[in-house]
Amino acid sequence: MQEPTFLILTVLAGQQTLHGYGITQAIEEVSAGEVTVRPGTLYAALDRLTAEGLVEVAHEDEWAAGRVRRHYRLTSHGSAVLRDEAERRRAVAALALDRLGATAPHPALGSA
Amino acid sequence: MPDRSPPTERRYARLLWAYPRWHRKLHGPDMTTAMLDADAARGHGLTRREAGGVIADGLRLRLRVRGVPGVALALLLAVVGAATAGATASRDVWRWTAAPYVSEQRAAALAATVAGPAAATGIERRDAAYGSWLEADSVLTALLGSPELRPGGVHLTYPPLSYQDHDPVGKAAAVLVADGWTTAIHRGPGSLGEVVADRDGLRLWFVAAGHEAGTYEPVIAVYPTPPSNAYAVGIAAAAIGALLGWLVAAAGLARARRRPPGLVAVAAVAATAGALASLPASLLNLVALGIADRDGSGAPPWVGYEFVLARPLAAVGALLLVCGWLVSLVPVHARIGSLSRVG
Repeated sequence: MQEPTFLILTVLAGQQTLHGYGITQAIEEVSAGEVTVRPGTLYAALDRLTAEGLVEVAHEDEWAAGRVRRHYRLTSHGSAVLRDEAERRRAVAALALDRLGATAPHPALGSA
Repeated sequence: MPDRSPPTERRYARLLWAYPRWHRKLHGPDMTTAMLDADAARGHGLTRREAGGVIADGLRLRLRVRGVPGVALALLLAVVGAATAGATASRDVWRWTAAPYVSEQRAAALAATVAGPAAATGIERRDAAYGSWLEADSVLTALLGSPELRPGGVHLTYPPLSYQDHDPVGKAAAVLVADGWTTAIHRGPGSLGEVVADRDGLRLWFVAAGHEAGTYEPVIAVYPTPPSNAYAVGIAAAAIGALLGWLVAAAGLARARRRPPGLVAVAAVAATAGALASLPASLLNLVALGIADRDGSGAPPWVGYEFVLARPLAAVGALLLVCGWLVSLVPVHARIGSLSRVG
């Protein structure tokens, strides 16, 4: 699973619903500004995740001149996939820390 | 607060033209809203670099193909597209820029410089750059193609001549050079050799055939010199055709994601069968385009559409590809799966 996809699923996991810009903002916050997802990348990923059933449109707001704002949420299948991926990444991170001889858990990993 | 005037929305809508139509319809309004929301939060619109990134993402999406079967189909269609575009472009340039065909009389007069005083024992004429020399206008040849393809123009055969004390090919080349022709000599198995001579947009092809018992039979063909720019244009067109073939495959595969499985299967089978059927002719075309020598003596870049069995296969392949594309366009009254779960 690529990093932008993992981050999209992650930010949706902690929220009821998020719209497009909300997802972008949340990803920047979670990554401490290191990751910026362009609109093109975001919506290509949302399209694929929707087709795969990991994400769904919770509701959409429509107003004049054809403007639309869709709010997305994680599906149960998406939650399961995200959980598996997070566990896999945690196991790899723990292995790395073991090999480095770290004795204290990293704060971010400790707050799962 | 940044200006939310329609010009900004129009500018963002124009950026989205880089995206496939299905993506614009499905996500365009939402993407525009997201970009405007970002403008409101940041206090300024997209920078040029950011706008370039939006466009680049759209172009990448147009090219994106997922999965091994999808990539395989896209490659097949890229090959077919390259061969079709290369053949079409080079054939058009050939027709527009090649010199006019000569008459039998003029060809015989030009050939007399190397053939000697003897009259030709056989004269055939085909006013076509390349094609079948079997029974003319045969329906079977037109349908199935021909295993025997030669350059067009006027072909003359002469009575056998003795060569015991000279090199007929070298002598012919010397005579042609003295007459103002630019020549190149080729030697290979099956004949004493051949001379390819060019002058004033015409080519004279002299072959010393059948070298048994100290004699040879002169065969001379006179036809318009193959225009070298036809190959250059053909190669450029082939590159564009490859890209178009890939884009068509990517668009079809993206559309297939939102179609019922039965429809997808029919379209996929038709497209794959069509591409495979077109492959022999396509490969022949691309090989001819790629190995054309400086003399342009080889088969032209559309030889695949003339060759036996490759021709009808290419026709069937084209029909199947069109059918596959049309099936993928069949409208279905289904919303994207996620919207059906809304509420």
